[in-house]
Amino acid sequence: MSEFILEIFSEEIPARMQKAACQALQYHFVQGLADHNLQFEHIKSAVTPRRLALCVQGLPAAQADTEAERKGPAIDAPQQAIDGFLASVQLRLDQLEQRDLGKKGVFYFAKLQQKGLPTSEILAQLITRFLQSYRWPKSMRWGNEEFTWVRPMHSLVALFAGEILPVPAPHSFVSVGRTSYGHRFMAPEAFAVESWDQYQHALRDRYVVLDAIERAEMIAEGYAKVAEEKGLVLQESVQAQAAQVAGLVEWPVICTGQFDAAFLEIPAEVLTTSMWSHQFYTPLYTAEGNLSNTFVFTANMAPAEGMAKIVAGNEAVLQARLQDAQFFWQADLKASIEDWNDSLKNQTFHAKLGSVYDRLGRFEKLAACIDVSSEPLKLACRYAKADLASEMVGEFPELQGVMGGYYLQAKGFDADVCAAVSQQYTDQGQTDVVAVQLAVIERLETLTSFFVVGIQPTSSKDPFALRRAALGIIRLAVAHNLKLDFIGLAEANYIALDVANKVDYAAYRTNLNRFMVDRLRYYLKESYDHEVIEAVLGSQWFVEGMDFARAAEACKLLSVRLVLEDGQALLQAFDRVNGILGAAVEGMILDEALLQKPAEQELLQHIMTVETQVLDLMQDGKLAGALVALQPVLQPLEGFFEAVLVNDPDAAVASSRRALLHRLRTLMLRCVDFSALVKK
Amino acid sequence: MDTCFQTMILNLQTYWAKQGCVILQPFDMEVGAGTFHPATTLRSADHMPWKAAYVQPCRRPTDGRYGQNPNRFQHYYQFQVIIKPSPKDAQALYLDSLKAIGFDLMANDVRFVEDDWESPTLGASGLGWEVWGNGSEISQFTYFQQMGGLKCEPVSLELTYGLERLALVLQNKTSAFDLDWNGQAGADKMTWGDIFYENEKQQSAYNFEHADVPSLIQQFKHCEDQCGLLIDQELPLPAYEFCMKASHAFNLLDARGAISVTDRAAYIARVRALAKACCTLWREQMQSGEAA
Repeated sequence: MSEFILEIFSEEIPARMQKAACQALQYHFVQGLADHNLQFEHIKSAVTPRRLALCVQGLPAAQADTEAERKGPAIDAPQQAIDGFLASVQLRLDQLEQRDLGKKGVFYFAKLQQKGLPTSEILAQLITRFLQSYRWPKSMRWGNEEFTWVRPMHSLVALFAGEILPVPAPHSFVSVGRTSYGHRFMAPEAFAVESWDQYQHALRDRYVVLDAIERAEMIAEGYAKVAEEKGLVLQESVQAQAAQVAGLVEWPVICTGQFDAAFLEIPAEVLTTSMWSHQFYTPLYTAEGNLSNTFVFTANMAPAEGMAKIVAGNEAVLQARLQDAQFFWQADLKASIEDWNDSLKNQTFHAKLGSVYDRLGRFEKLAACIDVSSEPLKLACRYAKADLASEMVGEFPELQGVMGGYYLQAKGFDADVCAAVSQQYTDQGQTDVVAVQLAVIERLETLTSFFVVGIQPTSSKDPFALRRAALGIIRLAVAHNLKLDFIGLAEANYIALDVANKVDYAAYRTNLNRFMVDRLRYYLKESYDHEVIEAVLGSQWFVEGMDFARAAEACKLLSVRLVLEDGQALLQAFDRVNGILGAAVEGMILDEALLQKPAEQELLQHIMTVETQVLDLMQDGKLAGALVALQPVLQPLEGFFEAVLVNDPDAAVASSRRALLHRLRTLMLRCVDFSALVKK
Repeated sequence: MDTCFQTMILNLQTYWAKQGCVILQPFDMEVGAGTFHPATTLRSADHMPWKAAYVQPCRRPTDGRYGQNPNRFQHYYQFQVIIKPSPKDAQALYLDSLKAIGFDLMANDVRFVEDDWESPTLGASGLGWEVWGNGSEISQFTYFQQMGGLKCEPVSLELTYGLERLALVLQNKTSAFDLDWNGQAGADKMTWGDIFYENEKQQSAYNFEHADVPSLIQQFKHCEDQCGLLIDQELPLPAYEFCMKASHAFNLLDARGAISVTDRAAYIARVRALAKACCTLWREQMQSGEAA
């Protein structure tokens, strides 16, 4: 049993691409070896900024020999066909076997011995295939050749059982052999790779920690230690940040820096964005959760003279960035919100949908549908996008909304207006009703406006993130138990949108509703069974009202009630009624005069009583109450089935009885599409 | 080792001259980046080998801060290296150039951090990194994949040193205004600020307050027309100069806040169309030997 080692050594691989490539490399060989019937004991891949590595242990020297059988012509076939077969299998006639295949006749069969290929040959092929087929998110050419990789490749270590594999170099700049290199600066010299174990140790001695998870742990632990020493705390995101930073270094060295505390006057989001998004520095917080002026970061060097110079350099970079942020902050505070709003007339939202300013008008119209009396909501809508014209958002687009909140606060707007503007882009965390309403309006306007001009997501493309917008509406509605008139709002925005080339209203409604129901289905799938979801989404009250919050509630309720006795009883009742009626919905006339039997009268009376209650309850989506309200009908229904034969020989009587049952069925289907729950 | 600004430039020139680069002088027109120099733009679009290095003063009107920000200016220097085809040891050559200006690779933290470069105005893109020196972006390291909308064949290596940023790290300073320019002491001592502070103040005022919008709009249009006419005359070199002028007029208009977000994309597309036409014609001429 032997060991296979591969190292693809290149110039720096972008951190965000490393993990996927490392997994793909391993997957490629797991699949490839299986396809070639090669068993192994252990496989492991690793990645650093400069190398992708793989080790497979316990591989045989060659594939097992196999015996294959090939069917030849019938024994009475023309000589020419038989000779052709013999030539193709390179055997003599007396080496063939004859086998009787019954009706088809007697045929020649050849037994072919297939010698297993050497493992080295298969490995070499798999390497080449990986180099040619792996799709990086972005790849490039270099020199004067067409081969592409994420960045220029320098060398391949490709060893099996200690021997160099016959892999052709994919590019004339690439060498193939057993040579690897340590840390770019601290140990750049070449060294020979002998085994995986020796390779890892040799790298460690040369300032390279091969395993990305280990590097991430070193970073996270190092940061935690600094925080503890300083009496400060880290946010939860530190684990994810450490994993990202691990993609930027081969030899993590933890550093601590500080910036001038005077910058803490700038909003914390600006500071943390400057630190993390631009520099990969992790901020530290006080025990009370306030941002401190201390941060941690990871260098890739351990100079003999210590880290002071590196820390000072990084501090200076942050200082400069914060100075610029402060410049923007102070300049923005002097600007006029009205001027900003005005300038939005020149910011195109979408060629077919006009400017960002035009959106604000639609926001206000939607706001009037949601709560016409809410002054804060009106203000939040009016100034929702003002910050898009600010210097700060120009520099830090990711802070849109958040900055708007700060600037409105500085202008003296009420806290609920500021919070609403600040939180308009997130799906969670809103505590104030205005914030929830604005967040819904923001998404609703986006989603429906694009549908009005016929721009809808396709299975592969959703450039305007309309799926996310739809999901946001659902999440907000459910989390805050909103009574959202989706249909009314969709109509309002259709009317509000003053553009050319609107799609036909009916088509708009159909497409939008279908899309929304699909998104809701997708959302509910995380928590509920398929049948339950379909039973709710297929119910008449949902189809008519599109009430997302109540639909989610109904799924929860049904999931519980169905397993209980009363739920089961309703389901069985529906099943029986539905079984008798079948698909028929028309041609049934309810003539009360023909319902003479007490059981018939009793059922009719109960249906009529229950009907009023259930319809009332379902008006507000109160499914729990409706399911209880339906219960009194079950006993009379039972009595009805015992007393009468529905399909009476008298057609008029049968029709009346069927109509009676249909009335009940319709009532039940208004609450729940029981047909989705019936076991098929 | 002498790390003053002017010596740093001389050392970079000497180093790259030894690598076989022709040492050019700055192009005598306003540009937003060293990439705009025809020695990079046009030369990376054709198929012939090419190695050049030069200092290029750059003007970015929107980055002006009236001399009040120690790290942002509307005028600064880039040192530009262009090598085609990109060499096998590109990174090593670059790192050696840092050594040549006195940058101790063992005492600092130098890293290659993903940064794919794109110039929408030039119709150009490449893959590479920003090079960090202790967290500061001291250079841009790019393998050109496309220029003027054309596939780069062969690929050019472009190195752009931000000389002020590099000097800050090299001289351990935090403000560019304090950078030692000439390495002298006493009366002869000159700093970057001595030379450029007033320029930053006045030019920022011009860029943000006084640049004449109507005449700039006219100028843009004029340059665009001239470029087109010269392309028709099959003169890509002067045509490209008008493309550069149009681009600078656009930058000034941008700084004056005279271009709406809507119009911005349209202006960029217009400059790109010019750059594409120039590169395409230049490549054709180089291929047919007309411009050799």
